Amino acid sequence: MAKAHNTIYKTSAGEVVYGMMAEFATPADTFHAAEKIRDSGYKKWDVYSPFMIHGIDEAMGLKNSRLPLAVGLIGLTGAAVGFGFQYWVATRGFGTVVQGKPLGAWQAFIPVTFEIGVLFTAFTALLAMLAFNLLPMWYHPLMKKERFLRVSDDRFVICIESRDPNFDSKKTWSLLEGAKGYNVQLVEE
Amino acid sequence: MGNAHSHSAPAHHEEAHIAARRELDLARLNPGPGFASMARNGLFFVGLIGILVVAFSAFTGGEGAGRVAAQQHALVSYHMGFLYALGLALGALGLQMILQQFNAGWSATVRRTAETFSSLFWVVVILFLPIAYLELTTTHGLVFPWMDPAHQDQVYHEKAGFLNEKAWAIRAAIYFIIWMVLGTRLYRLSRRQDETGDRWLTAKARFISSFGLLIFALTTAFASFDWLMSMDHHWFSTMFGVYFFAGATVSCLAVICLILCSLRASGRLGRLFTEEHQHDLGKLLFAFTVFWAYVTFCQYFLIWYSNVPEEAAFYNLRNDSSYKSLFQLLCIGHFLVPFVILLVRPIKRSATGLWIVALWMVVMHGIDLVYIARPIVSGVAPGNNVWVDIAGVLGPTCLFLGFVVWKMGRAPLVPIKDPRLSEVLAHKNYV
Repeated sequence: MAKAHNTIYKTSAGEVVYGMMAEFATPADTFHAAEKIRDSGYKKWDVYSPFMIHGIDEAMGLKNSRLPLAVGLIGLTGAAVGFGFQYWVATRGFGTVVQGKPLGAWQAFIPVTFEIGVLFTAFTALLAMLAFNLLPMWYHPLMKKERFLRVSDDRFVICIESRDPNFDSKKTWSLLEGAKGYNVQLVEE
Repeated sequence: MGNAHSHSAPAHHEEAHIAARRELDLARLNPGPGFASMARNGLFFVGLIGILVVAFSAFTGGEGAGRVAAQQHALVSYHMGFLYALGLALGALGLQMILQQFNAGWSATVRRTAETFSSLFWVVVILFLPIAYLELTTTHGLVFPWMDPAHQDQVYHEKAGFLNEKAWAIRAAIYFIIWMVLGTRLYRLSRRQDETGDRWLTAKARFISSFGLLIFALTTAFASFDWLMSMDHHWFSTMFGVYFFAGATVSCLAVICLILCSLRASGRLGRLFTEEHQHDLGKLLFAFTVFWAYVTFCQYFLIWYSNVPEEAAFYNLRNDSSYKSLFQLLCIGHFLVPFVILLVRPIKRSATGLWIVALWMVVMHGIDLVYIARPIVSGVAPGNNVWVDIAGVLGPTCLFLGFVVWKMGRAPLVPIKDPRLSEVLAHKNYV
C-alpha cells in the first residue's frame, strides 16, 4: 500500500496539503502519541511544544544530532589553522626574533591556537545549529493556523507531513485521533 | 530540626525514595570478603614484589658514589609510588567533597568508591613512614636535598624558616591527621546511613565537605610543596599545588572508571550504574584531563616565556636532556590523545572503551610523576635502571589499590540508603 514519494495531496478546494496536525492537552499525551507515530513508521513529522519534553527525542525515534561532529571537526581544524598560520608567519612570512627564542617556538603559539579553536567551535556550533534546523525560516505552513499559535503558550501539536511515504488522509487521521489528539485538521502549504 | 525537615519533605519524594530502595538487589550489592579476590591478591602481590625490588635495588650500586646513586634512585622511585597512592586517596577525598557540595544526584553510586579510597589514608601513612624515617634519621637529603647540610646554601637559608626538618615533620603529621579525620568521618557517615537510612546524615556530610574542601585545598597544595616541589629547594612555582591536585584527580578518576566499568560489565550494579552514569564519569575524566593540561601548560609557558634562571632550572634539567622524550610523551599521551578520544560519545558510554582510556590515563599519571621526580637522581643516567622506577611506582600504588579492593568487599558497593538513589535510577543524558 506504500505510496510513491511524489504523491501530492490536495484539499477539496484544490490547495496543496502540507500535512495533518492534531492538538494534545498534556505533555504525557503528546509523548505517548509520539511513541505511537514512531512505531507506525512515520519519518517526516514533528512535535511542537511550549517547552522541552524530557525524553521526547527517544519517543520520536530521533537519532543523536550530528552537530557535535561538525563542531568537533571544524574546531580542531580551526586550531590547526591558527597554529599553522602563526608558525608560517613566525618562520617564513615575517620572522622576528623575540626575547631570543627560536623563530618557530611552538610554546608561544598555544594560547592563540586555543583561542582560534574556541572561536571556530563557537561559530560552527551556532551556524551549523541554524543550518541543521533550516533556520532562518521565513515561512512555515503551520503559522497560518490560528490554533497552532497556542503552541507557544499551553498547547502541544504534532504535525505529520504529507511527503511522508506512510501519509494517508484516512489512516493518519485515525492514528492521530486514536492517540488522544483532537481538532485534527489538514494544513495547507 | 532534622525531624522537622524530613516531615516536610514532599510525599512524592518519599515514594520515589521507597521505590528506589525496592529496586536494589542487596545480595549483589554486598560482595562479601571474597570480592574480586583474584584482583586483590594480584595487587597485593605486585605491590609487595615492587617494594621488595626497590629495596633490593638500593644495594646494587656497589661502593662509593654508585651506592649513593642506587640508594637515591630507590628512595626516589619509592617516593613516586607513595605520591601516586597519596594522589589516589587525595583525589578521591576532593572528588567526593565536590560531589557532595554540588548535591550531585547522579553520582551517589560513584561516591562510595571514592569514599573507600579516602578512608584508607592509614595505608598512605604507613607508606610514608619509611621515607620520613630514612630521610630524617639516616639518608638526610637523598630525596629532599635541603635536608643535607652540604646543600644548605644561601637560597636554603632564606627558606629555612619553612623548610626545616622539624617543621616538615610536624606539617606532615598535621596533613595526615586532617585527611584521616575527613576521610574516615565521611566514610563512617555514609556507612551509618547504610544502616539507619537517616537522610539527615547526607546534610551532615555536605556540611563537612564545605569547610573540608577549603582545608583540603590548602593541605594538598602545601603537601605538594613539601613532598614534591622541595625535591629541588631552589625552584618554586605558585602553580605547583594545582598541578599536583590536577594530576591526582585525573589518576583517581581513572582508577574509579576502571573499577566501575569492571563492576558494570560484571552486572553487579544493575540499574545503579549504567552507561548514563558512566558517560558522566567519562565527562569528568575528560574535564580533568583538560584541566591537567591547562595547569601544566600554564606553569610551563610562564616559566618558558620569562626565562628567569631560578625558575627555568626545573625545565632546563628535564627538557634539555633525555627526559625531553617524557615531556613529549606527556604532551601527546596525557593530553592530545585522551582529549580527542574522550570527545567521542560512544567511547565514554562503552564499558570496554572507557576502561581502556582509563588504564591509559593511569599509566600516563605514573609517567607524569616520573617526569617530575626522577630527574633529581643525578647519579643514574636517564633511562638507566628503568626497572627501579617501574617497581617503585607500582609497589606502593598496587599495595594501596589492593587495600581498596579489600575494603570494597567489606561494605555495600553503593550507599544503599542514600536519599539520592531515586535520582540515580532516573539519571539520563539528554545530550
